[in-house]
Amino acid sequence: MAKKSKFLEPSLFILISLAEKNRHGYGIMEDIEKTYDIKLGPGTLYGAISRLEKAGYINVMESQDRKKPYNLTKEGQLYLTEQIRDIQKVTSIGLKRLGLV
Amino acid sequence: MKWLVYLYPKSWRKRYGDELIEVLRQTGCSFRILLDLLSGIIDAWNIELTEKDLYGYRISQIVVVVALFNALILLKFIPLKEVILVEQIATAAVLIAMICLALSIGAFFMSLVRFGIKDCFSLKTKLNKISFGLMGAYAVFMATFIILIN
Repeated sequence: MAKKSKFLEPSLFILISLAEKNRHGYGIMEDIEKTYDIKLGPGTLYGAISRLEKAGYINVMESQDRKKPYNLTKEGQLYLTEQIRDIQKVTSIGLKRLGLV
Repeated sequence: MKWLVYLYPKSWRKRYGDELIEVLRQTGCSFRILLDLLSGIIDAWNIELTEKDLYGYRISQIVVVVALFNALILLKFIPLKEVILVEQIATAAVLIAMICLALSIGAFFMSLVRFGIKDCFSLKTKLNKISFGLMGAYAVFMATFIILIN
């Protein structure tokens, strides 16, 4: 499992972005900005990408271009599912206790 | 802002450098991006020094041992405090010598991490030249200190 750090949240956004389709660094940044209105800096983005790649959650795809696309691995898919389920559990408890459901 | 990419550790730069330059080309530069890159550089060096091994020892552990060694040397001079207080020039000399030694070792290790074992013992790189120069300054200030306390 990836270390809990300030890069955990960007990591989740990156994994969600790659769950839709394979994207390169700038494509991931654009998708995150468009979807969540969060501007991820290039330093943070590549810090998170290097951690995710090291953890085996994403893979770089062969490309002659400087822009290298990344894809989500099976481990990455499992990790993301687990994380989203955890978040879902927390939000449903929160909503219940707030009397919103 | 591309030059900032060269502040990343060599292995990191080799793997992600081109991609990062490409992203920087598209994002352009701003103060926010500059700060973000600096934070990324610190983070990458932190990972590099934590994970990289040198003869089976983590570089971060070696740096701590070197720092402790320097601290012990400084503590050794505490009994001589009164003499050193009288000889203020000697105190300044020994402190500068210790700082030079610490910086020299730091520059050497940075060179070792960035350029590898083969190149770090040569004078080809700027870091090695700085390390060598600082070692020379250490020798000069240490000699000054020894002469003064004698």
